[in-house]
Amino acid sequence: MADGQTGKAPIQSEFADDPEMAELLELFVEELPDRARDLAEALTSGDVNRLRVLSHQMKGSAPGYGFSQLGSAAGEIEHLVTFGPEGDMDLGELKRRVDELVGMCERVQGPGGQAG
Amino acid sequence: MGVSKNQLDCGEPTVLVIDDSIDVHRLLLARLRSETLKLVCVASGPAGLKAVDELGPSVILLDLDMPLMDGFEVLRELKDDPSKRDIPVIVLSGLNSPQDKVTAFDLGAHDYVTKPFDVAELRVRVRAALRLSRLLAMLGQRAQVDGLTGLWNRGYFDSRWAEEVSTASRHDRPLSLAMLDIDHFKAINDTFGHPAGDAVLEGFSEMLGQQRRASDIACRYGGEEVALIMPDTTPADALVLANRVRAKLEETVWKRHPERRVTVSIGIAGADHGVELGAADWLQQADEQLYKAKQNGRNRTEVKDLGNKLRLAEAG
Repeated sequence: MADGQTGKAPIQSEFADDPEMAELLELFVEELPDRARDLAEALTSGDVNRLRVLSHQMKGSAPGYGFSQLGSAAGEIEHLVTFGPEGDMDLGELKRRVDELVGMCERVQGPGGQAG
Repeated sequence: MGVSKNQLDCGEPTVLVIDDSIDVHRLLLARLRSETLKLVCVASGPAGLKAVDELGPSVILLDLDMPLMDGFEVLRELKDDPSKRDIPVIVLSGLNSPQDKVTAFDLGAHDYVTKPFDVAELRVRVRAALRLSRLLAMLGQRAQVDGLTGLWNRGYFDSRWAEEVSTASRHDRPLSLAMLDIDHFKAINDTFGHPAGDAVLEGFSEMLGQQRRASDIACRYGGEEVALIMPDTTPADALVLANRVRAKLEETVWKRHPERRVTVSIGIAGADHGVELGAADWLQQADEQLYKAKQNGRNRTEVKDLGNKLRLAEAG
């Protein structure tokens, strides 16, 4: 889990050295800023359903690309919007989680070491 | 026994992925690239069911949590359809509660892999499902294959012939049927014993397997009688093939009795285009030609062009 101590460290895929994955990783890293922006936008527009879909997708896909950290952070957001108390959902907590995930996305590095 | 000789399809098996996540498509394509299989990905349940119809996949990888139609519903539909029921389905899902697993297996899933999946584990599970699919196909085929000759059996002939007649009629395509009967087979059995008769049937069937084209369907009709279905073949072309088979058999030198020659009589009924004739009547026409070939001295082929009648009627 990312916390205050590792909050600035770059994130590399667990499959960074796997030639089979090189092309896919590049693609994923390239698309990551878009995905992060979608997440942030869903939060600001208060579209909880969209937030649920996006976090569900990232929970399922990120670990496949070797970013299990992103996967579990997304999983917590999905859990929060799915099972959080309806109506008076803790928006502060949700915002903190989404910001954290977006921050992680920004720290992701591609297979060649370039920033995402 | 002869099952593997002429009948088994040895092409790359198709594995169908039904998952709404494009990421999963990409990952599977990369991760299963090294396997001997053809991977096809679709993004929804309805598209998946359609693809099953069109592709006849060997194995299905199925996501559960999908909009429109979830994986459980897809699974239910697959298992309700006798032609799809036996395709092994591996559920590939982010849902990992025991209840979801129990439901999936109750509905007939073959295996259950949770996302994110481990690559090595997924590969061996796919291989295991392909192994099962291959064995099931072999089992199904064995029930339709003649044990002695390795040709399709009578039951298969009956359904396949009816199918081919209706296809030819629907698309106005040529179709020919040859009935082949080994000459004096009873005498071979009586003189040299039944093992010799069996050897003749085996040798003849093997030669027929080599001479026929890939699209021809050879079936043991009964005793020493073989039916050869030739889709998209005019009676004239069927005659050429039949005479080649006849000549080959006549040339064959039999190991145990090199001085003996075995011959075959052949009756063909065919049409250059779709005709209004039922499967049973068509078969009877071929049988009559076979009878004529026997009457006219054996080791010969007689042909009936079923299209002629129609053309004459059109001309008149």
